Amino acid sequence: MGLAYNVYLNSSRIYGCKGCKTHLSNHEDIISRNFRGQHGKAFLFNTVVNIKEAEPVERNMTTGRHVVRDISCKQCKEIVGWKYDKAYEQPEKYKEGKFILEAELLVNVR
Amino acid sequence: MRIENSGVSSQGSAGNGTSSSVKSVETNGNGVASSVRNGSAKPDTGSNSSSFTMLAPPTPKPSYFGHDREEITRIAIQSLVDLGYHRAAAVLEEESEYTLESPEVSEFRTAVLKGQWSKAEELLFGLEINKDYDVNTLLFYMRQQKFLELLEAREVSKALQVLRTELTPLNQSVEKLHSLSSLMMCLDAEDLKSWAGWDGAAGLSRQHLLSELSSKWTPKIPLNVKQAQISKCLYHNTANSPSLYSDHKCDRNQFPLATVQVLKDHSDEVWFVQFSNDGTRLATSSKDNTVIIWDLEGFEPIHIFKEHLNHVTCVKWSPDDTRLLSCSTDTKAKLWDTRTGECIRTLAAHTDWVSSCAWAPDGLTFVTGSVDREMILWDLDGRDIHRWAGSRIYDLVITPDGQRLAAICTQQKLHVYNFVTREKEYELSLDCELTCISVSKDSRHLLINMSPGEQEAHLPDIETGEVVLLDIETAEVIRRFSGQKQRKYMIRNCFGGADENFVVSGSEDSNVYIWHKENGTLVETLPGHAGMVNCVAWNPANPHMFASAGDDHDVRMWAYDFPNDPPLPNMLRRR
Repeated sequence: MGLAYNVYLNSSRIYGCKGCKTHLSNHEDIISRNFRGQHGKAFLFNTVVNIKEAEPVERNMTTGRHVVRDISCKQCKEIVGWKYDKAYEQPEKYKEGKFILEAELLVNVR
Repeated sequence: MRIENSGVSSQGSAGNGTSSSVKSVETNGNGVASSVRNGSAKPDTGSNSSSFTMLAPPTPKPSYFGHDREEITRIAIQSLVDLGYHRAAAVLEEESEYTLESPEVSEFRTAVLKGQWSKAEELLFGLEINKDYDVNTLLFYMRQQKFLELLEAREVSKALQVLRTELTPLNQSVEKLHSLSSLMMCLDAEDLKSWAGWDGAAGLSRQHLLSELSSKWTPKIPLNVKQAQISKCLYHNTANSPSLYSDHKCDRNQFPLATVQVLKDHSDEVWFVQFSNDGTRLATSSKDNTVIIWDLEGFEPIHIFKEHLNHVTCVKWSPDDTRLLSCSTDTKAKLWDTRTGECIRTLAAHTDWVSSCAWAPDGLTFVTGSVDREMILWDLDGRDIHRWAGSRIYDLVITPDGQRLAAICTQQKLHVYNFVTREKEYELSLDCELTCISVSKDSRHLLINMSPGEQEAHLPDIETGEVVLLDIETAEVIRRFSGQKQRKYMIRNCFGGADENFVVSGSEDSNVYIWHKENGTLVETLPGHAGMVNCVAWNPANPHMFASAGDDHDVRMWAYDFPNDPPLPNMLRRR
């Protein structure tokens, strides 16, 4: 695997992993704040960095059936949200390839 | 005898300007004095405007073993002068009608060397100056020398006058003027010399000035015989000058192409490897959180340092080999006694992964770099003496002459600092992910690994990286070596061979890549590792040995396989 450093973001508002402060995404990359996860409020992001993706699973959510994979912080391995691989319902298709991070698991970092 | 004028062509193909050809003359060991003696004949005999007195030979003569007669003759004349055979040189000049130097040039040279500035300025206008250069630039160089010499002689008011009435009107850079005027604050001549990086009227400064100036008016004939032979010898691995009587060639069989030993004691990926300065030991660091010091006689571990709580990114031997620094993703750096194996100090000021470290050449201080945006200068007692903040550092080096600190950061930039004053000299955007920086023994060149980085999904997947050789003084790229595969990981490089004739790099495709430094040819790609090659290091005391560290947990020792006469008999013991 070799030595690879975490990616460092340059935005003025950066969301990091609550446990280890590793950069995860920029404030500007939020697509929607209107989501809920296991821990309450969650945000939909266009891109995230420094995460590992788990195997895809099919899950029934309030908005219908989706194929998702859990994503965890590369540094501390904590699960921080999930990624949408596939949405079965047409109106939900916009979420494909996008990421959910749970607000409760995030912290503002510099 | 093979004499090639390849100095010109190889430099030219590398995309260098005039300044680097001046440098190449100096590297040939001819020194400044000979480089300024390179005159030039006007090839156009009909031109009356020539300020040179000599004429081209009356009839074109056949070439000499395929080489230009004029070039060969000039080289001969110059060699005679260099060897002190002035009468023979004069006879050859007379007979061949090639002269090295016109009387005007010679007069100008004398004036500069004697510090006769007004005479030199007068003569300057009589010389044929390359149209690409502004006369004011040349005048500025000369007047700057005059100004410094006046300051050196403590004639401060005269110096001020030169600054105001002679230097300022030339409309050169305001920054230069500011830095010159700041030198007026120097207390004495010694102070002045150290601030200006200038060695005084009695030193070599006038000769340097002359070589700077002379590059602007005559096409040079670099005396590149030796260099030409080396640049054609693919496996050149000796520090001795090749003989001029035969075509020189080093034997591939004597090049370290064979794995003679595999060191297997790490239990995870090996990320860094470095030989001790005396070449008797090896230090390796690993993802398994340990550092191992190996004895190169028997290839056994002497010490295993287990105190880091996370992966060890980098290790560096102190100049006297009694200490070792290690950097870790546990945010700490540690200082070890290499004889007792004891951890002497833990340096705990960084707040993120410590990526890199380097020793000052006196061994009394060292610098650690981290992705926490800081580089810290420490003394041996673990006191933090200075901090450079702002960039997230991937790797750093201190030049062996102790003059500069160079670092690469996450923002694809090279940062160069004056290590004495700690001021920043420049930064350079290289527009590529940078993964490693090395410095040459002569402190003049940097070697930087560049990775295309991770591509957006819709773009074609590029994974071929480049190693660039940079002039640290001018920040110019001298040469690019391409081939090694890298995209995501910290792949390291090193200079290699007896006279640093090679450039070596690890690669994500599990090969070791070796290029010829002078001509840029890929000499070898060596398979052997069963995973990425993270780091390579050449033995500073034995040009026939290098080491590579891989994701396969192995450290491979490379040497040449000599069936009848094993160079290191005990090397094969633990194979």
